[in-house]
Amino acid sequence: VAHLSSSVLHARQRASYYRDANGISDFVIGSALLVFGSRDYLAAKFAPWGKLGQAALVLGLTVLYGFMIVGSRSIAEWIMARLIYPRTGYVATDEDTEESWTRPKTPFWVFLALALMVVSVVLGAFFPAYVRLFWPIAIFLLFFSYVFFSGRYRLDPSRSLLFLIPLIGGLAWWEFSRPNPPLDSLLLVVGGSFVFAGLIRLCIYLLRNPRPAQPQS
Amino acid sequence: MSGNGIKDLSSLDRLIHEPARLMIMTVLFAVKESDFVYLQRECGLTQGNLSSHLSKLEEAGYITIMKTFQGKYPLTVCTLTKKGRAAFESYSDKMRFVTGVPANGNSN
Repeated sequence: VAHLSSSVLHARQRASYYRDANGISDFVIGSALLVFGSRDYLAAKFAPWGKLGQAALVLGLTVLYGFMIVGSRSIAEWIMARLIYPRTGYVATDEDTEESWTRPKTPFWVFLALALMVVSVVLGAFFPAYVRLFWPIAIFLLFFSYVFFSGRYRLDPSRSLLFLIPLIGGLAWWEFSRPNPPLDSLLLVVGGSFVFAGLIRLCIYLLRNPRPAQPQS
Repeated sequence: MSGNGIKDLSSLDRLIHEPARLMIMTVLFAVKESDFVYLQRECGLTQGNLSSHLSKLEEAGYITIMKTFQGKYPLTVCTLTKKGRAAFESYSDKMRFVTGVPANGNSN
């Protein structure tokens, strides 16, 4: 909209950032990644169930992961309705008409994931020594871009640190472990970083915004 | 604008011109919908004050107020109507004429 005044744009940006300001979306996405990354570990742990039981467990966790990713917005909404709205209120933005910023859409991330896989395969074929280094670096860059995009093209230092400290620690653990843990464990590192950062941000948000004594109408 | 210059200002919408209501209209213009608590927080108004301004805007047909539930939590959701949106745009145009500030917010 051409005639938007700066105060309207400011109000729109604040409303747009509001949903992500409490860490709940990060927590939900992180939990989904933890579910997906823990499939092989849990399948090994529950080996006595037999192959059929293991297959059912892996399938169940994969389906759960799919539901969590597809329904991440609804899950976040459900949590927000109980924790956030009573404290700081509810607002909905019309993201389709938002011009102040553009969030990369799902196809972009799918394309990126495929591109990374292709690069990894090519690297494995021609420079096998570097494959081990490739994934931690790629995941670090992906994670960094997520923090950048979800922060509306800004890198809030405290938020970035909350994400990056557990991530760098996890990647270093993976890189320097001999032999390298399976690739799936990198998902646990990423998921754990999301959950850690999300929970800390949520706690800070709840402490800063106590529930009002009486309900407001 | 009708082209009468400064005289156009006499037709400024006084309902929107009041600072508290202008804040409410600005927030509602920027979002799809918002509840009472969010508006109160954004505008820094007391509960009673916000209630009375919302009632005036609703009476004028600029906003709709809907009582709903999100889980067990009651929400008083406010939305700008088409009439309200048009009134805010017209008000903005007139004020822009007064201040000489173009649409991107930079003064020449």
